[in-house]
Amino acid sequence: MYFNKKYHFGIALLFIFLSTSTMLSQKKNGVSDSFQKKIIDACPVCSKDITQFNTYVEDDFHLAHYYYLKNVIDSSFIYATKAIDKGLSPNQEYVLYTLKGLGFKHKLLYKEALQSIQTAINIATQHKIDSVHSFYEILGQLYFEQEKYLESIQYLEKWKSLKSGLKLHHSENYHNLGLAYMQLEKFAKAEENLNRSFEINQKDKDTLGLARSSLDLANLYYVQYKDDLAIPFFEKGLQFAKRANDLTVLQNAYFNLAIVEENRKDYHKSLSYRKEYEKIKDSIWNRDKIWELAKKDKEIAISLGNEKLSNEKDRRNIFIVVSSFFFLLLLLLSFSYRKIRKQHQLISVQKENLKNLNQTKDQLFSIVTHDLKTPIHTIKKRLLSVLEHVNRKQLDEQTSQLLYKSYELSDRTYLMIDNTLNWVLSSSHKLIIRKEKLALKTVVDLVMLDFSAILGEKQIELTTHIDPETVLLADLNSLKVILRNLLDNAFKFSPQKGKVTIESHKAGDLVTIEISDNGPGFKTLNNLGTLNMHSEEDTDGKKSTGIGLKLCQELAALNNGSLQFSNGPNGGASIRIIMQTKS
Amino acid sequence: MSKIKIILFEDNEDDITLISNTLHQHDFEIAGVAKSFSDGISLIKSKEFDIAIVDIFIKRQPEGILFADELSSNVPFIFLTSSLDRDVFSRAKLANPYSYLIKPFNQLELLFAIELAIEKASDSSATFAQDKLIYYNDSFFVKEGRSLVKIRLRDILYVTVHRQYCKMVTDRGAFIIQISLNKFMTQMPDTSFQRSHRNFLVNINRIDKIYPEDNLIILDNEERILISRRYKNVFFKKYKIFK
Repeated sequence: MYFNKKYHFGIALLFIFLSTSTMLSQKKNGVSDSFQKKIIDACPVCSKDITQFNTYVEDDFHLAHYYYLKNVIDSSFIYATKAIDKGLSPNQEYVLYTLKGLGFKHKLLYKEALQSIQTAINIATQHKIDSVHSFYEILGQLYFEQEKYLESIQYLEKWKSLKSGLKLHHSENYHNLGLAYMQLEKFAKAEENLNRSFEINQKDKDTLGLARSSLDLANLYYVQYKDDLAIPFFEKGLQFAKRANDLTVLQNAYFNLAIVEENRKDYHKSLSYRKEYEKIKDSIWNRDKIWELAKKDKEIAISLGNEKLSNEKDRRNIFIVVSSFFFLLLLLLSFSYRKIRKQHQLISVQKENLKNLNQTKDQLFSIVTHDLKTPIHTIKKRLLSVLEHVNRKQLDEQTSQLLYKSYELSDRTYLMIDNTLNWVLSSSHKLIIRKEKLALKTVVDLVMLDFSAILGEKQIELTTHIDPETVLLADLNSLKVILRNLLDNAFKFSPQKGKVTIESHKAGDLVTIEISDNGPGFKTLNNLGTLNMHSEEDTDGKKSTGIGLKLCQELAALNNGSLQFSNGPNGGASIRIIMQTKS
Repeated sequence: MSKIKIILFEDNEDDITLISNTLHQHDFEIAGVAKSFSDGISLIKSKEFDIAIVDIFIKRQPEGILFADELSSNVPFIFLTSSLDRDVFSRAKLANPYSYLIKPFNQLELLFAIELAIEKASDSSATFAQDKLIYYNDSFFVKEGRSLVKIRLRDILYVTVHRQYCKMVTDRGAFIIQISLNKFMTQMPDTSFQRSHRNFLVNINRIDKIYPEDNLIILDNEERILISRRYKNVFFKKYKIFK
């Protein structure tokens, strides 16, 4: 039984120690007033302007204490280390090493804490900085944590004698001192200090502190086997713990009571206390875990959110760029489309107008020439009749000439009208071309019939060499028009008593009809055999309008034939009509 | 030898006069002139003719085309028109004329149109210019000078050989046909014409006397035709000889 108690006591004690250490570290970071003053004096920022004490200023020293007081130990650490390497005044170094030490302590790295504090103390003693006493409590604590109780008691007694430092820490220090004595089994001293701690907590109405102190005292009595003193304190401690907002203390309380009841053999109570302890342990664990997970979740959520945000932002930007580009494109397209449509419409309208104009022109031409053709022909015929029947010798020269010239004029006019009619029909693709096999000689003969008067008047010697067997494939009207025009030209350009020949040659599938005269020949003929048809003059000095030859070329082409112009060896003109004999 | 008969479908007096004069000058016979559609129809029914000359526009209506449709299919006809406008022609062509004649025209143009019409009807081309005969509708047509004449079968005395072709001998003269004698014989109705000799195809209607022992035939123009032994039997088989 003693063994059990001792065993359980050992565990309880251990627990209490652990609880104390954790308890202390949860306390808010505060520094004593004197140390704070030291900081302000040493800090290059705060010494100039004290209002900057709690504000962020870009200065390593300043940030070191700024972050420490904000409980951002890691940052404080980094800046402190940075500042230390810079080589500052001893005051500043002292402050920094202290801060470092406190930082270490906060992080439960007690050995390192001691080292830093020791360094600070060394600097302080070297340079006669007077606040060494503020270290006592820290050192005491540090040694306590390292289980070096003698040294801890030494420093804590020192502190006690001076009572320096933060008032907030007093109850803790007494508590630590008490526990240290308890470890060395100096129970009287222990009781004294623990009571002191209890009193302070009572005065301060610190429920958590009271809970702790109660449990301390309870344990003290319990170790001395003063159960009846211990148990009330345990229960008190539990009550305080329940009211205090600290699950760890509560947990401890339950645990202690569970052991106590077990030792008292009240297993039922012990078990219930145990259950409570477990519950809290789980909830603490849960709470911690949940808090951890929640923190993690939040971090992940934030990062995802950020990512999403940036993605969305990118996407949105791209979308905006692309859509605006397309929009512009669309705008451009619709614009140009509208323009083209407009142009097309304009073109259509113009085309329609042009078509109508053309048709009107053709109709007009057709009607006019058609209606002119017959009367002119009649005049020509009648004049011819007069010319043939009158005895020219009975007339005076002037009248005779007048008569002939009138006939000639009517003949020319008729030819021109006929040419125009054919030209209009041809150019509007309304001319009928019906190819058939034609006996060349017969066609030449019938064309020549109309020229007898002119031949007679000019006394032109006509020679024809056409083989009656010569047959060609052509449209009758076309051939007549071509022959008529070319012969008319030949006679027109012949001098008095001139010579005109019509010859035909056959070569393979082609027939060539050559009409030659001994007039002035072509003047505008170039090497290629092309003619400027508007510039040739006839023997009377009149220029031709050129439509005749153009029409002949057109008609020849329509019949798969062609015309060739040249000047004969004697200077006269020579035109060759080349036609097909077979299709 | 007989004249080619032509009918005219025309209402313009000047044109009628011009055509009539030309035709008369060139030994054509005008079988009739119709100035309206109804006159035309009665003319077709009552008269015999070889060719028709049809003006497309009668009283400003294209009645000529309708009239042409009424002609029997083997009669050649010529369209008279004042315009070669396709719009006009596209209708005219439906009646499939043998040739066109554009007003105003001269005499030779008219005659040439008639030549072309007959040539086209008999599916020959450029024949008349070469002094060749055309056989069409049981008649022969041939160019004489500037005109055409028609040779009826009974006008033919006999047909003989000329190189690879045959020569037709008529009262008016001899004409060469562009086919061999044998081919000619296949086209001929054989009742009138008999082969007496390898080179002779005789129109028996024109025989005056026969001297069988001398192998001689005397025609009514006193020309003598030979009989060869080969054909003698065949020749006489056809006829009873009254001794």
